[in-house]
Parts: sequence; C-alpha cells; structure tokens
Amino acid sequence: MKIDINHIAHLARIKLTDNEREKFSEDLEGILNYVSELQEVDVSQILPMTGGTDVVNAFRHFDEISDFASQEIVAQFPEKEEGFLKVPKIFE
Amino acid sequence: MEDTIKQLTLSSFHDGLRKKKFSATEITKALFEYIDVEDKDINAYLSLHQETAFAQAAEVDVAIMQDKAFGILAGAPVAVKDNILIKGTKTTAASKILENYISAYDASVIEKLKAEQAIFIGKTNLDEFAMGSSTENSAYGPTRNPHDRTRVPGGSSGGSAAAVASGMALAALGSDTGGSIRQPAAFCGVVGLKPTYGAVSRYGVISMASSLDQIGPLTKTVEDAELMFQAIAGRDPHDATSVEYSYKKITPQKTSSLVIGIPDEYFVDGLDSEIANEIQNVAETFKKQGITIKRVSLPHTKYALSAYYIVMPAEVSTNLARFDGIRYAERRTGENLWDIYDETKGAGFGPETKRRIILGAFVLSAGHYDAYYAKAQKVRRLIAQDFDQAFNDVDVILSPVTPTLPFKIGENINDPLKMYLSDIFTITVNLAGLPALVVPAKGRKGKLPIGFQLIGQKWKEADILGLGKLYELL
Repeated sequence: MKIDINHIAHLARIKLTDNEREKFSEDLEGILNYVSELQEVDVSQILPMTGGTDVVNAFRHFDEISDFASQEIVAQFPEKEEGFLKVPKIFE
Repeated sequence: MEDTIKQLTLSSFHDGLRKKKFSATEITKALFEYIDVEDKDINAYLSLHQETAFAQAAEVDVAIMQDKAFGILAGAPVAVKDNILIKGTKTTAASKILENYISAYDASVIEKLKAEQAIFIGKTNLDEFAMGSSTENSAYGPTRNPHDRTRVPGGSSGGSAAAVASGMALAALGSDTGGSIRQPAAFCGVVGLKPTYGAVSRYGVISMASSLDQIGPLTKTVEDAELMFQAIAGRDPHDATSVEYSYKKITPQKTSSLVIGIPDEYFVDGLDSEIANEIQNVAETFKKQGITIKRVSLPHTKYALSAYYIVMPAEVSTNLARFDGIRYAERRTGENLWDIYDETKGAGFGPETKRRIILGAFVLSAGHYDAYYAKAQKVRRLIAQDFDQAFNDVDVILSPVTPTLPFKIGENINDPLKMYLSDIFTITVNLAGLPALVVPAKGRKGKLPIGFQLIGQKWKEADILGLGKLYELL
C-alpha cells in the first residue's frame, strides 16, 4: 500500500525530516503489510473490544479535590504570566 | 557490604532490620556506593535520589531504635521506572521532550509505597515513553544487560530489570503495555508481575496505551513480587478502571490442585529450541508435584501481534498529542500555532515514538479506521475469548516469555518488525487484560537467563504467585 506520509504527519502535527519521511514510509509499508493478515479473520459476528476494563459507570462524587498546589503545575508551563498559561495567538 | 546488598531480598532485608543486623541508612549508603561504580557501565538509572533516600532511611531507623512497629517494606530501597511521577523530582519518560519536567504530584503507587515507608533510590531507564523492547530507544543511552553487557536488558522497563538483576535495587516498579515488565524480567533473570488490568492504579504514570497499561513489580523472588503487589493494588478514585482488591495469597502447597495448560500455538517456528526445552523442564517440575498439565488451544494467537500493533499505536498517537509545546517542554517558535506543534514534536520525540505516532494516526484516519482500528478491536475480543475458553479447562497457562535469548545491542534497532516480534508471547495477556508472572528458570548459572510465563485468570494473581513460590522452593 502507498502511504501519503505528508498527510499523516500533518494529521499528527509532527515535523519529519526527509530521511524520516523515507524511512517511516518504508517501515509503515512493512508493518501494514504484516498486519494485513487480519483481513482473513471473520469478525462479522464479533463486537469490538473497546477497552481493557469490565467496569461500567465508574462514578465518583462531584467534590472539589485539591491534591496539589496549582503553582507546581504552572511552574512547568513553557510560558506563563501571573499564574496563567500563556499561549500563542490563535486569531489575528 | 557489596555482597550483602547483592543478596538482599525485600523479605531478608526486613528480617535483617528486625534483628538489627544493619540499619536502613547503612544499606542505603552501601547501595549508592555500589551504584556509583556499577552503573557507569550498566546505565540503569537516569536519576538518583540520594537526599530524600537518606532522609527516608533515617526516619525508619529512628522508628526501629524506638522499638516502634514497622511495615514489611519499611526502609527497603526500591527503584522506580522513569515514567512514574515522584513529586518534586524529574520524570523524563526517557524522552528529550520531558528533559526538564518536574513531577507536580506523586503517582498513586508512589503514595502507597511512601505510606509503607519504602525508600526510592532513583528513577530507571526505559525506552522513550515505554515504547520498545530493548531500552535502546532511550534519549539517554541504552541500558546494558548485567549478565552480558554487550546485550540488551529487554524493554521497556530495562533499567528496572537491570537494577534489580545487578543488585542496585532490592526491587523496582515497571509498567507493562505489551510485555514491558515481563520481557526484561526474562532477559535479566528476575521476577516480573503484570497484574490484572484494573488491579493497580495508573494515576501519575505517563500514559502510553491506556486500554493496555498496567504497573507492576520487578523483584528477586516471587515472594517479594507478592509483597510489592499487595502494597500497590486496590481501588483509586483517580483511575476509574481500578477496582477494590483484597488479595488473598495461597501457600505453595495449596497449588497442587491447580491445572496448568500449555498452549500449542506458543511453540511455533522462531522459538529458540533452548527456550522450548526449558519450558518443558518447568512443566515436568510442576508435574512431579502432582499438578495436572494439559494441552490447550488459543487459536487466534497468531493474530495478536497485528491487533496489538494497531490498537496500541492508535492509543499512543492520541495520548502523546498532549506533548505539543503548550503545557510541557520547551516551546519551539514558529510562524503560527501549527508550526509550534510541528517543531516541538519533531525536535522532542525520538524515532520509535514518531514511528508509532505516525502509525497510530494512519490507522485512525478517515478511510482506514474500519479496515484497521475497528477490525483490530474485534480481533482483540477473539483473543480474549480464546483465554475464556481455555480457562474452562485449566486454571493457569504456562508459556515462554520471549522467542529468543537476549539479543545484542544494535542487533534489531533498525528493523522495527523484528523488534516487535520479541513481544509475541506477552502481548496477548495485555489485550485480554489478564495477570501474568515471569519467573527465571533454574540452573542457568553462567548462561543467559530464560524465564517462563504463568498466565492467570482475571483477579487470580494468587494462583500464579502461588505456583511461582512453589517452583522457587523446589
């Protein structure tokens, strides 16, 4: 299968070098070729297994939780101002 | 002292503390001295926590001096995989993108071990974001296998496995998404437990593939794995998949009524004959104890690797989308917002991480979702149903852990498919959400380690740990 690596990299919002584009295209072709064996399995009567847990409706009380001080999280932001996360301009 | 610390297990350490043969501070000091020399070559640790470790040790020693009661893990020096948060310390996930990230809180497993007064020696190396089978995908250099330093320790919890195997920690925490505790345990000759999905909270662990990830211990003995598991298991409101779990251990003697199944599909071409022989020996050993051994069939095993390499990267590509330079990492500059995402991820992620993000984005993309992702989820159910069927006949399944012995550093790094094949016997367990224990086969002194895998039914860690303890006694 031919893969449009530029399109996929764009979807993933990730910049690839020319070498990476070439190598990943080859790798992906190999991997997709390998996993194509799944097409021979009859799953017409099978429901998808959408997660790992059998737990249903795991609720918790809607309480305020303050496990940690917000400044520890703010401290990790690449850009901040007066305790807020500073983000790049989105609208001109 | 170096010989003493190499021999120590969690339970013999506790015994020594109780009999006042040594103090927690003495052992901690000796351990750091040993690490200082040994880890130059092995590279199991990414960071060491001397200051807090000595403070924790002193607290335990004071309690003991005052004849206060102390828990079974009190003062025990433990290593932690560097994708698990310890408040106020670096957690890198072995990625350049988190090079300077300081954990804002404790993971729930860390909170639990702190309550037990365990000591955290440091954070261990891994494949970036726990993606790999050799620890070569670390941004901070590979870890070496203590049994043969030209070989890999396995991965992704390779640092934790190497630390325990070389005696640089009494026990360690790892995470297991497709075999990342069990495969390195087998390669390094230590015990590794991947608990039932939902047995241990993942809160505070950097997510890889959330429907598969579990945390578990790597230890020197099965008894130690049981101690660690008991300490970390249970419901945590911060992880909605976690459940109440009151673990009831069984004695090795009580395991004789269990029936072990051996799956035909796990003895395939490509399985090293030395490993196949060892598994047969292990089966014979159990048989001599009066345990019934049966053949079982898990017919969809051959599709597990394919299903896994669709489901896992799909989840990876969504989980890792958060590392976009907005809230973490150094934000790269760009013309617009998209440039910032592109540049930050392009510069911060290593090749394997990028490969899996790209693969995940592909299988989730319009036009390919049904053929790949939806299909893989259905095949995943068939794999889980195979185990349900088999467990009608048997209690536990015995299998190899890896198809090969530990490979050379550099041997598989440029061939992703070949690398992925080293997880072929472990990923089925994650897809089905089952618990599995890896125990090193006996009588391999001077040879490369081989492990065997005991797969249990959900919430029946007691069965596999009981059998593991029995094997160690023989």
